[in-house]
Amino acid sequence: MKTNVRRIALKSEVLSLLLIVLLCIAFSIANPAFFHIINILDLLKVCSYPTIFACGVMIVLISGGLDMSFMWIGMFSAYSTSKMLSLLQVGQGIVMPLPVIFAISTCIGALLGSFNALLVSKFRLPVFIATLSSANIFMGVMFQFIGSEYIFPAQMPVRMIEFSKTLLFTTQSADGTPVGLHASVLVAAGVCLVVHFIMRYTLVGRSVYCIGGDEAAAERVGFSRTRTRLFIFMLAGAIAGLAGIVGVSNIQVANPYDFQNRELTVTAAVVIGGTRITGGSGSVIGVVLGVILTNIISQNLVLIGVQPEYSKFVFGILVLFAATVQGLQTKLRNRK
Amino acid sequence: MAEHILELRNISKAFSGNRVLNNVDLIIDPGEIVCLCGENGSGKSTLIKIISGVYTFDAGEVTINGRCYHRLSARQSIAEGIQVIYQDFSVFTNLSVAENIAMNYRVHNKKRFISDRFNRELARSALAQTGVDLPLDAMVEQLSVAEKQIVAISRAICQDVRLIIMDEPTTAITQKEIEKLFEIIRGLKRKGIAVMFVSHKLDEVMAICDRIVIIRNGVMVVDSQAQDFPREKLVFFMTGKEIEEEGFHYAGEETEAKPLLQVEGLSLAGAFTDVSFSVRPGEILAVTGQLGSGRTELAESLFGLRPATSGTIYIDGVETPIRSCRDALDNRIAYLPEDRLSEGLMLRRSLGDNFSSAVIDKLTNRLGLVSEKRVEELSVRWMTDLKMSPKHYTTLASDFSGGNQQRIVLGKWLASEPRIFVLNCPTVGVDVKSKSEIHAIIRDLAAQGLAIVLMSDDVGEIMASSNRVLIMQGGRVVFENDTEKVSESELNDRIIGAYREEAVK
Repeated sequence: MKTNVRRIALKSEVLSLLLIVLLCIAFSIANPAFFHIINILDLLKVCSYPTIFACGVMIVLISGGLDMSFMWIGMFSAYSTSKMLSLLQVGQGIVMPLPVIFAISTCIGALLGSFNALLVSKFRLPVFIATLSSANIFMGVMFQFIGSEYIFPAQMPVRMIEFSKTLLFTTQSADGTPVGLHASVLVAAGVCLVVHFIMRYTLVGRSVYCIGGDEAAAERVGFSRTRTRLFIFMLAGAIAGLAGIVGVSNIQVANPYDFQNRELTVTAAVVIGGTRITGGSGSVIGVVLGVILTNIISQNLVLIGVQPEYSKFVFGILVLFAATVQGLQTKLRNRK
Repeated sequence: MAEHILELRNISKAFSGNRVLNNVDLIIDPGEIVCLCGENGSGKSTLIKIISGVYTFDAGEVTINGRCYHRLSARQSIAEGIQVIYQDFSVFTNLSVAENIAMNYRVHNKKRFISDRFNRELARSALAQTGVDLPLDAMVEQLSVAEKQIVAISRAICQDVRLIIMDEPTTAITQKEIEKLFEIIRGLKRKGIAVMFVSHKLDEVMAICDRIVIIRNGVMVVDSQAQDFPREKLVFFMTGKEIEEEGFHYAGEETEAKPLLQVEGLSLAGAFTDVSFSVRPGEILAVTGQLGSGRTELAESLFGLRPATSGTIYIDGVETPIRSCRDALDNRIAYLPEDRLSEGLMLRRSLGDNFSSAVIDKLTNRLGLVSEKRVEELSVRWMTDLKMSPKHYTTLASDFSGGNQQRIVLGKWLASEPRIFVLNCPTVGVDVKSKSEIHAIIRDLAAQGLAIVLMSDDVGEIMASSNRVLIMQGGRVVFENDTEKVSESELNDRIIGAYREEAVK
């Protein structure tokens, strides 16, 4: 019994869960509206596309590398998809159904991801350097050849705008506005389930853990380094492409500068969620908790009237705290 | 039984014109335990890589289970039931025991979807064959070295394995664990599985192997039944030379010199307790004991890496606390770590960088900058003094063989002109010839008046290069005597005898 408690307490996901509970209590004292259904539904909507991004970041991080390009893959895929379809719609009056829109962006993402795989496998570059340079390449190509102007709601593909207004399980709130679960939350949940299944129950998913644990050993067992890397980066790229199009739909405007400088917030959430920064360990459940945790903080600090500068400070302290506790957990786990 | 598992005929291999293997023949039968010996660079690892399909061979043929191959891929080798257990075990420390054991099977039988239950059942039956009980859900990073080895063996026997090749399986585990390992191997032998050992420590392997194969400069020089093998000739067969060690005699016995290093009641919580000894200039004190006896921790305490929690250290009769490496260096204590690759040597840096690293602040020119000329002078001097094959001082340390790398680490510390030198297993993984040369260097240093503390688990090394010996067990000193007054077998028995007492408790 005691060993069971110990084992559970030392799981990295438990930390994030505990922090979430503590924060919820603290915020609900500071702000009685915290537990209001509108607040919670809003939180879920805000978390939706960062969660999708985070799943991709997690996969690369488990394989032992820090992906710096995912936000630009997401923006590149979403912006070029929106622009292309907006031209078709305005010029030819063709309205693409939503699944096709999502699929196009996802495929562009996978294609960009395979470029990362090429850099890492063929040129033997460290993931951090490879993705840092590819991020800039993607950005440059997009601004030069695809465009940099905003696409406003009036020109956006109709189905994307409809998607941004879709609420599920709706009821009426006190003042008569409809309240419900935003459709993007469902997409995020779907991605989480699929990624969880792949990483947990398929051989190729486990090979990512093997590569992250010991690359030489993985090759000796019979995994191909090149093929596994291609899988990792194409999947991560596809996920980023999907996250991008969901994000752009939610905002209803394709603003190519929108995701800029947000890499580290998502990466921090992934790490807080218990993904080991050195690779080899991490889970979707942890990542979801990490994203929720970071968003609770950034959202609610503003709500209870904390200056934005301070909320950055608190965020930094929290990342520090989570990383320290995680290190401590690993140490305790390895002590017999 | 009529069929051989493995038959190599006239295997040759060259790397960029250098012949590494020359017409090697080797036959392994079911249930046979073969020991493969050879110096570093003799070609034995190349031979293993050819059998496991990692390298292709230039000429000859390989027959496995009656099927003849002129090219052999890693996948074919595994499919024929050949498994290699590497020195580092190649296990995934971030995954569970069950998953590690099942991984090979799943990859090679193309099981694309995973069921935890299947993993656990496979792991349980493999572990049952080894007779060892391990927690299936534990992460491998939580296991001891010996337990990781069990995981690697279990993983190998999950497949339909016919030949297991083990690279240096006994270097990192204790005597007790070695016996356990041998028990497992005897069990495999009864099932008709053949085992090939690669080992430097022939004494241990003699207890279990049926046949001994020695390879030298790419040529097989011995292929003999174990009981017929003239043991004392091993060194000759491996090196092609008779190497005789002269032994060490301490000259200062009569003069009663004052101890240079004296340790009283030294303790480090959780590692060793109440250790006292003294070393005079010119003496070599050997400290031995099994893994976990506290000898490595003692060595690290003397160098300030893990400062002792209580007790006193006197240097030249003056009480000198050593709280950090800086303290140790200021008192001219040097330390040769056990693991030269990770702790002693900068592999990707040049010879000159390595030699100068401990004394870099002294090798300056008038402007206070590092003088390249003085670095070169220093390197040339130590290369000559340590009898290394001459190379330019900018050569990378990784380009040297194991024995020469150990000399680089020695030279790095000798450049700091130490008075006290603590050496932790200086000849582990070093071939026989370099070993005797390193011993000669150590004896020579003592003759120059250094006080030397030699941590070692090699009884031959202790006999040849020390005048006093100290045995540690469970963190305490349990035996101390002049080396001359102890025979090799007595010392062996005392180290293992200590282990038996522990087992009774």
